[in-house]
Formats: sequence, C-alpha cells, structure tokens
Amino acid sequence: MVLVALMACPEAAPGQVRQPGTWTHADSASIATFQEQLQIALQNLKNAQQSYRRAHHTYAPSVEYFTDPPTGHPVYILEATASGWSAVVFHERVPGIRCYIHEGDAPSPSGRVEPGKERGCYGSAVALLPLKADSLLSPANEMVVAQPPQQRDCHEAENRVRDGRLSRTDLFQRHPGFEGKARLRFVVGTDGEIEPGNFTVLETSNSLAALDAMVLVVNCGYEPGIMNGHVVRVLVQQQVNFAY
Amino acid sequence: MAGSWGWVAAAMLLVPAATPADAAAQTEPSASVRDRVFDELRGALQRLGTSEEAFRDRVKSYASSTWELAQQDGWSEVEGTTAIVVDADDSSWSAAAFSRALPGLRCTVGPRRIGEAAAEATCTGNADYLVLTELVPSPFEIELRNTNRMAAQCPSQIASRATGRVLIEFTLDNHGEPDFAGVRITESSDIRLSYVAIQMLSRCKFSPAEIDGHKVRSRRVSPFNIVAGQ
Repeated sequence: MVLVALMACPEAAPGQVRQPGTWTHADSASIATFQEQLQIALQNLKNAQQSYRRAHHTYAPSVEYFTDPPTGHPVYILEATASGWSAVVFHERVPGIRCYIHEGDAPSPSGRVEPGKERGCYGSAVALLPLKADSLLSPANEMVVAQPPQQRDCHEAENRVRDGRLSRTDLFQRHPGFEGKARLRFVVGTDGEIEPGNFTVLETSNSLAALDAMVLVVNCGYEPGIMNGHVVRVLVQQQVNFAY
Repeated sequence: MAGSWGWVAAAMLLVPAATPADAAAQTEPSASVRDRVFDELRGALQRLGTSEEAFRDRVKSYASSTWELAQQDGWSEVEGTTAIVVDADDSSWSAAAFSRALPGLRCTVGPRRIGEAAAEATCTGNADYLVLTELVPSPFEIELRNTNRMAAQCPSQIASRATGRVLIEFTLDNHGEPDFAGVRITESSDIRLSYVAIQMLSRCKFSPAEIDGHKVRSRRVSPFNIVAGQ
C-alpha cells in the first residue's frame, strides 16, 4: 500500500495584497502582520536548532547546515555554540524591521532588547517592496490561497509503482516488506504540472524511496491552485509513506 | 504523461572543468582559508561602516538596512559575502558579515557610536562546511572550487528518452557520500530529466571536499547533461 499525504499548503495570513510593481510605506497593521510572520520564521528556526543540537551536540552556525533550511525570510545566525545561539530574521519585503531570538548564553543581538526576553522585534519599516512577479504562493508571503492544488486520483499510479511498471528502482521487488518515506517540496504550475526545475527532496529514508516518491507524485497529477478565480503557482510539500 | 517513459538511452555526466586561470590560482601559496575569509569579512564590514557614516552625514541617522544604503548610497555587496545591519538608530549601528562559500564563518562589529574609534570586528566559526552553489562565484570561491574540483565517477550509461541539461544541488558528507535529504533540482526542462539526474546521482562516487587538509561536508551544484539514446 502506498499512502500519500498532502502536507503543508500555503498558510493563510491577514494583510493586504498589494499590486506587483508598486510600493508604499507600510502601515502599522501591515507591519504587525509582517512581524507575526517573522516570529513564525523564528519559531521554525528554533525547532530546527533544537533538532540540530540533538544530532550534533551544538547549535548550527548557519541555516546552510540544516537539511531543510527555513524558507521565505532571510535568517542570519549571529552566534552558535554548544550552549547558546542567537539570530535575526528580516522580512524580504519590509527592509528596516527585524526580529531576534537568543537562547542560552548567547548575548542579545541588540542593546535595546529587554533583559530576560528571549525574542522580540525592533526597527522601523522604511518601505514595502512589491512582490516579485514570479512570487509563489507559500508561507513566505502573505497571500491567501482560496483553493490549494488538488491531487488527482493516485490509485493507478500507486499500482504501477508497486508492480514496477512505472518505477525502475525495483525497490519493492528487491526488498519485500520495505517501509520508508520521502518528503518532497515542489511547485505545481498553473497547468497543474509539477515544474521540473524546482524540486527538492526534504527528507528520505533512502535514495530509492526518493525516486519512487518522485515518480508517484508526478504521475498522480494535480488540479492547479486557484486564488481570486485565477489559477496560480503554488509551493507544495508532500510526504509519501511506503509500506508493502 | 510519464506512464509512457522509456528506458533505452544513454546519459552522461559532465563534471565542471577548471579554466587555465583557475589552475593558476590553485598553485598560489595562501594563508589558511579561515584567515583569508575573516579578512574578506572584515573588509566587507569596513566598507559597510564607511557607507553608514556617509548615510548619517546626509540623513542624520544610520541606515537600518543594506537596502537603504543601496538606495541612498549605491552600496553593494562585496563578492562572496553577505553583510547585514543588525541594529541602527540615530547614534549607533552594529552589523555582521557572512561568507557564502563557508557559512560557518562570520564577523560582527558594534554597536559603534558616533565619534567612536573604529573597533576591530570580532570573527568566529569553523571552516567545516563548504558551499559552492553560486553560479557566478567570487575569485576566492573559484579558487576553493578549483582546489576541491569534483572528482566523480558516474555510470556512462543510464536509461533516458529525453535530452537536456539538469542543474542539481546536493550535499556530500565528509566521506564523499551524497545526502539525499536536501537534493534539489534547480534547473530542468523536463521532469523526466530531473528523475534521471537524481537516479544518476545515486550511482555516482565522489571525493569529499577538503579545506586546509581536512575533509569537510560540502554543498554543490552540478550540471548533468543527459543525452537520450537512439
């Protein structure tokens, strides 16, 4: 049996969707929204640091060290030892504001940070930059997807992967009883097809499982995401669990 | 769609080759890589500080982001580095600079107040992870790339019905084994080519990167030129 689970789809967030190609000074309500997004990014970073420390007994000195680096906002780790770390995260559309976090014995990145407080935001927004023309709908920006991509019927594709008609890895023929998983990130285009040049294996039990998961999601196919009545490109994360 | 995939073809891997200029750089004696990167990062912070002072002369406040410096002062990144303004107000600023090729290294400066003598940046970190994914690298990255020229043995024959180029980004551990969690296709014209490239990667043997004689993890981008068989 092959189980397919559609995981993270773009999270809804309040805030204005401004027209690409224009920018204005950000209003206070928007700034609050952007800061909330940065706080979420910091929480994701904290989770990643905790996982990294469990595996390596020290904190990561850069997001490049993570297998699955946080996406969306530029994150910079300022200090990282076995006993503490600090970081700042910026909003790519709002230069001037940033949120910080510091844990353990790492000092706060700013003197204006309240003592004893683990995280917070400071700075002032100097501009609101436009969304890039090819922006994806993802947790990285504030757009709301009315309807995420819908996976089509995967039954036939699952059968073809299982009996070797679709996949050439022979994973299941060679390893009966194999269990594994792969977590993939890709872009579903406006035609419902997976974009070939934007595909990441986030996690996998082995290389063959990643290949079979890739074959499966490509062959399942998608109905494209829709926002405001228009089909849109959407960043999708999907986990495929194999259990035969 | 992909149900009609065929598997009678040949594919080949092209390993990035060094230019004669790169080869010359390889023979130059150098200080330890870590020290050289710290020098570059200090230079980037010094340049940022000069821009901040010029910005304050005009605006009466330090710039809170490199975006502002770029708008007002034409500031641009030093090749191979990323500099950020950590904090800034009317009377002080602090900043940090990072290496793109060796992200484990960083330098910080400040808070530096008006009229204060320029303090030396504090630099820390280990050169234990090499990232060579920039398509237009700095001269220093070219040298690192050259001294860590990809030594790969890949199958010369692999089934593919499509032809094209795939850019694949991946991490090698310090034994030269690719880590499939984190494999990323960054350029491809056909999802079938992306699949073949990952399949090929799983069958290649690599040598790990080395920095100052130590084997380290590395992240790379490699082009796979796949040619369909007849």
